[in-house]
Amino acid sequence: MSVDRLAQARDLLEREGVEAAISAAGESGDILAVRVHVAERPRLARLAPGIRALGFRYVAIELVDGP
Amino acid sequence: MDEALLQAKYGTLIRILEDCESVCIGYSGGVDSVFLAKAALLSLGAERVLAVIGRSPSYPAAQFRAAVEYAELLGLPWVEVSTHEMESSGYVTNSPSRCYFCKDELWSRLAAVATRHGLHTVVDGANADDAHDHRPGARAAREHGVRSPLQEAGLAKDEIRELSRRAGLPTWDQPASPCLASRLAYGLAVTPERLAQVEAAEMLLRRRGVREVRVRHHGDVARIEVAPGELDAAAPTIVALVPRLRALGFDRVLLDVEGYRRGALNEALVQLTAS
Repeated sequence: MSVDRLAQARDLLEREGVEAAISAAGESGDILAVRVHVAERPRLARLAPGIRALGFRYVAIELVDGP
Repeated sequence: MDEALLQAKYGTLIRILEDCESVCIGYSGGVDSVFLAKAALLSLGAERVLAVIGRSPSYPAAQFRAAVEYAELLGLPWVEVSTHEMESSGYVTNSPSRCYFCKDELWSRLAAVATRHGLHTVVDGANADDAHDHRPGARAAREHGVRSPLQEAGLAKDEIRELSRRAGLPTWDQPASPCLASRLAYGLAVTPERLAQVEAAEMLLRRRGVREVRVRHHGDVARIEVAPGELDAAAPTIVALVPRLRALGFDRVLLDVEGYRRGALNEALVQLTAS
């Protein structure tokens, strides 16, 4: 996954008001991992088609902590 | 659901099974094969029906126990056979044709069982919906002469669930549970260790009440898909389980924002085909 696509994904998210750390994940870097609270999921789900259009196959929330 | 059409399809299913004379069923304990077994028992009688459970690391132990429980409940004769798809390089390399190699092994074993027991026809639980998905395993079934009575009768999954409900089968609302290898991203080698990781992770989530869930294995990453209807309610539970999921060997745990989609890993194939 190119850095360009990652930058484009960051731009897209920021335009929609989502400011979060993002990274490419998976063996082929085809997952966009977004570090946000799980309560943000519905909003990210709405943005997922646009992110997939950038070349990512999946959009996911990075879960970092337990309770 | 059109009642007359449903009854007509069921009647067709019974006639197909009668045409099979006696059946050796590829039986997993899932919605489709349990319903098929019930219909076969009704149309042929237990002496002309044998369910065969193929066992390998890709078949969850919990599902085996459930399959046996349902067989005992139905009065369904059953045997288990070990399958050795892990010895096939075509399977282990996990190409999009992986299912072909697995099913080729399975149907070879079932054909031998059918011969030993004097059973006329090997059948599987493929349904009408399966015809629309990426199913290389269906080619293996055709090559081994396996029939798919539910598919031949035109019965779709929701119709099978409805008929199962009416028949009082405990599987009628059971989530679909394809083999564990289906959770591994294509190209990621299938190993017993990875299959065990997926099995343990999904069991952990199910025991905490997450009902319809897939843990997709992407190497060091677990990408969790939950049915959209329960996704938001399940999210806090999943977050709380992150340390235990990591302890299974995943460096990163991700929650897919769109949730469970049947054949999600096949979406990559669609994109490859289109590009």
